Amino acid sequence: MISVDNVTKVYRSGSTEVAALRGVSLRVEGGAFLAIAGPSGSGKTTLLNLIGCLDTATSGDVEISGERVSDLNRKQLALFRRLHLGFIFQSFNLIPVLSAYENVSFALSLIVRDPKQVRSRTMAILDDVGLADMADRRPGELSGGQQQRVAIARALVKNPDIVLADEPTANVDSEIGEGLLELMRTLNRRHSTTFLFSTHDAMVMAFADRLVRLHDGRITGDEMHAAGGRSASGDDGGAR
Amino acid sequence: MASLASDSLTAAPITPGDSPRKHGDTGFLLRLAWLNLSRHRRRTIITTIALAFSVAVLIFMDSLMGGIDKESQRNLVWYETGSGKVVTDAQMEDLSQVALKHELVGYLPVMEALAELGVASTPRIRIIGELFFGEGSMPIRLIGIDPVTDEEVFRLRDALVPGGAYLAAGEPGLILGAWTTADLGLSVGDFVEVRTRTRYGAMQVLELELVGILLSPNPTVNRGIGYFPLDVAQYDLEMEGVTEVALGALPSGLGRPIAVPTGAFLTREVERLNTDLGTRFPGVTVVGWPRLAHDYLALMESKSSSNAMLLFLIFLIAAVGISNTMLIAVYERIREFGMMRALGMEDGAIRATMVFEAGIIGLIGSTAGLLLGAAATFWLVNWGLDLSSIYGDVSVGYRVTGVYHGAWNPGTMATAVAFGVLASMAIALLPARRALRLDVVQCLRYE
Repeated sequence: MISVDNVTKVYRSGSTEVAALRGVSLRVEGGAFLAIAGPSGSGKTTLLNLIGCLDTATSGDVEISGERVSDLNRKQLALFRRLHLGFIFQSFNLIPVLSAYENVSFALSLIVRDPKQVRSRTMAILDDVGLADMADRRPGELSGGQQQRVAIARALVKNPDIVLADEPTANVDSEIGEGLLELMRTLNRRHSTTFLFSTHDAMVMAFADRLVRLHDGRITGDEMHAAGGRSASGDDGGAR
Repeated sequence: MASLASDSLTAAPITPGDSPRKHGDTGFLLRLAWLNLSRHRRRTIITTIALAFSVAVLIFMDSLMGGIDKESQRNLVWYETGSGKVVTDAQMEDLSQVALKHELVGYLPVMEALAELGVASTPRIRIIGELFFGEGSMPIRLIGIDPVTDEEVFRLRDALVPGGAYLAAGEPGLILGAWTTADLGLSVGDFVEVRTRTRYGAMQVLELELVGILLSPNPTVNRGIGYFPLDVAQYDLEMEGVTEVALGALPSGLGRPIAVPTGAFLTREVERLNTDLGTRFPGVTVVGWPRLAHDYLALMESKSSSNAMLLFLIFLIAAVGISNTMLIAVYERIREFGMMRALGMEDGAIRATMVFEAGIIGLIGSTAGLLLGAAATFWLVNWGLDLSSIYGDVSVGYRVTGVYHGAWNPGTMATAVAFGVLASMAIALLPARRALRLDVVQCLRYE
């Protein structure tokens, strides 16, 4: 479970202060498929970064699976990310000199020493995303959609508790984007992995089981969707 | 879209190692570093070539200087100083000054004692005079030598130009260096006068016939020194003794004497001779050849410093190249580092990747430089660098003429390679540190 409690994030640039988040509170139950929507500058990426332990809040608490990540230092945060979190980036961020297989296995080899286990799990997840037969290809030899599927596989290969995706469909066309969303939702259901997206894409919003709207660093809406194929049970909590 | 046929993820839960890896798989990091070098092949190749060139120049220069030093030492000992000298204590006050009044009178017993100790020796008288020829004159150093025993210590006879003769006892002959005779237009059979002073300070004019010309590998012998018989010198200079007794090869205790003794061996042997002769011949001292060749040693020291500066500059250029390559490599991959750090890779692992990358450049460049330097050294050792067209008959202070040969120095080769690799790795630390100072979010946003 994710608990964000009255979090504020202020960026300072010289004497100028910009509040990206202003007292945001949010609870997300495990297995959620949640989109955080809002216009540019609304604070959705900042919120995702705080939940992803990539950044620290100016005030307030973030708790993930019972761990108060606001209290962790840089090394502890790195370890926490390694063990519990997966990331999907807007621009894929694959390593161009590595094959699809290596891009995925690299993330797993950070926590698993057994090469056999690394190989079998990597091939399994590549199979899950439909790229088993392209495992030897480098990112430059794959289409945008295929590259993002490699990125999804990389995020999921270590079976994380939470996958955070920052505008995952922004760099692919709508048809491929829809395919990616379907894939992520299927994986979400299969592995009960919590998915959190930041987006301003209406299609992504429609796919989410739950949609949290942000504006000027504040939550302005929190909706449950049934249309996404998953019934809104209310278990996912809501803005407090 | 995805097949989703596999259910292995839920079927096979992750079993992490005993402890989560801090830096990931070293093999993977090395492979990543290697692959990263292929991103900009041309830049990598240029940097590697710059380093290879630096290492090769270092090895070549060291070989050349080592060869010159080795040959110079040999030519010093064989043509100028011998392994050392026995002089009077009074002479020791200033070895660079010729002082006939401090002559060593009882030199024959000293030579006998040295022979008993297994050391060949020869008596000499050194004077300074003014050589008169045709319509001019020039200062000259004259050395009175024993034509018989001198050959046991020095190699002047080997340097005689065909057509001339060696000195004979009792005959007022003179042999001069080829560069001197060329300067003065003298040839064998010509007569010259040398004006000097006797042991008691009286003016004396020596009339000597040029009987031979020397062309030796030691430029000092070729210009500015003349040799004449010892007995002629003693008679004309009113001397009973000599100014010094020069020593030949020193016995090593391993059967074969050491022709050019150096270092601790020389120090030990000189000490041994001093102990032995000191008790039997009070007032005499044995000095090793380095004390007699301080001009050369000072030159080598200053040349070493200037060469070290030159080599430092060459390495600096290579270091700037590597630094630039690594700086570009780091800055174009900051987002990638952000991704790696987001996935939980620790800064140390990312730093290690950069260090490995630079280390690979260092290893390849240094190895290529080693091969290139070794090839150049092989050529230098076997064929040498003929600088006669540049220096001609001008002495630049080294005791070498014409062809400059190199010497193998495995220590420098190993050091150059190790330094090339380690320096490259160290250079990578700075840009890596700068990149890792950014936080993960800054890295991910980096354009």
